[in-house]
Amino acid sequence: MTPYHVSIPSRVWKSQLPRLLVLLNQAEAHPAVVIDIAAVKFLAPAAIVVILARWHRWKREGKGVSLVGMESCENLGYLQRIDFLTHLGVEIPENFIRRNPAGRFVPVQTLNFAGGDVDKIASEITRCTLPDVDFEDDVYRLLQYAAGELLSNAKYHSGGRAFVCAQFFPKSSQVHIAVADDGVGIRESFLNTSREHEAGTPDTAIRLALLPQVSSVLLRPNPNPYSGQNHRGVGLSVTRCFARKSCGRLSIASENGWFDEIHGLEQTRPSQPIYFPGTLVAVTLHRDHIADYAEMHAEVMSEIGMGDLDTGEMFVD
Amino acid sequence: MKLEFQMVSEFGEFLADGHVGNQFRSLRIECIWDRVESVVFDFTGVTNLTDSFVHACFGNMAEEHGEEFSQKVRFKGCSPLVRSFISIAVSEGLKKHREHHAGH
Ligand SMILES: Nc1ncnc2c1ncn2[C@@H]1O[C@H](COP(=O)(O)OP(=O)(O)OP(=O)(O)O)[C@@H](O)[C@H]1O
Repeated sequence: MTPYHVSIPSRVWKSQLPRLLVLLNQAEAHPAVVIDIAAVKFLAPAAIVVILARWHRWKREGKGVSLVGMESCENLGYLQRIDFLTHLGVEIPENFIRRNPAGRFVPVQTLNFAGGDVDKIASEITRCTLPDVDFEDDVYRLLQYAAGELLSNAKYHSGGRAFVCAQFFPKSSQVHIAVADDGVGIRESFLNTSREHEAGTPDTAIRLALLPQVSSVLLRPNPNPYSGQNHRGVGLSVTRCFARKSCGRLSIASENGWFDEIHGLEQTRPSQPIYFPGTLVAVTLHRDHIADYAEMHAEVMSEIGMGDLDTGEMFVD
Repeated sequence: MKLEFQMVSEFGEFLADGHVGNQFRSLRIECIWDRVESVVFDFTGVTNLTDSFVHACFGNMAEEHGEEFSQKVRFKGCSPLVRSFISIAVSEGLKKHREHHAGH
């Protein structure tokens, strides 16, 4: 039987993500898939991690997957430099010398529950994405924060393997970061919790996950529910607020659930039904709108109703 | 017993993983809490952290021990950013402690 052929479009910006998800999904029912990258000129970080996560899930499910179009792909060097091909398990000779990858080429990183340090990977991806930016700069710390929280989520809630990719676009002053995993998806993470009924569909599950102080871990039956929990349900909601405050964007896909918010305004759903097994979270931050990270954080926490006691005496110099 | 932890040597400059924070709390502090007179967390060199980490580590600790936490624990070498993150997490933990113990 001939494998199903998926041609990745020439350019996939973040706004064209639903189209990519639809394309990949058309291959779902077929036992074998060929991914054709011949036309590829540009893939946004979200597109890169979506393809990687989908590929790995198909492999895990026993689907035959292969890659074609490398010879005619104009941007093959770019895809090699960011380790896209390596993560697909495709090794072809490199006709260039690898230099310090920082800046233009930010290698994709991966982790799963069994391996990978969230803090190290988050710091590495931030350093490579913003090589000329001081580590005390506000945008640097904000990107590092978002990477840390999103990677943590993938590591501890998805049960799968996650890919992270980021890029700084100096002309538009935007930083993009995307984390996609091939795990259980957000809806399933709320199974057997006290708010399972509110997560009845992938769409409602995403909205539940975005609420401050909602964590599926805290909602599970536990004889001592407040003691020693690893999670407070802050990561996703705070990252969302940061995206809003920086006039950025937050997009989430999980199963057929979809959430897309630009400058805090929810966008209309794409007309075609989309599907992404696992979870994709993609964040855009606008560097020009990030004034003071510490102040932004304190504002966000107060908006979500956290922390207003005086703890001054506990701090010594 | 008086304890002091250099956070940068324990975790590096970026404290991100809530599981790691919670594990540190239970394995290094909670198990000997009753014997500890005071504990200082020195954040010199720590440049950034996530809410997942601070809440799992210090929010939980404050929630568990309430007033006793405020008496025993001190934070040192904090940048304004680190101080703000910790202060919010601790404050939240203390509030929860009061809620659990209200009327007891
Ligand atoms: N990649 C993912 N896969 C599956 N479920 C997820 C994923 N990311 C988030 N979730 C679900 O969304 C919930 C809310 O996420 P959020 O980051 O706000 O909180 P948390 O990770 O539980 O707690 P904290 O951020 O304090 O560590 C999670 O508890 C989980 O149920």
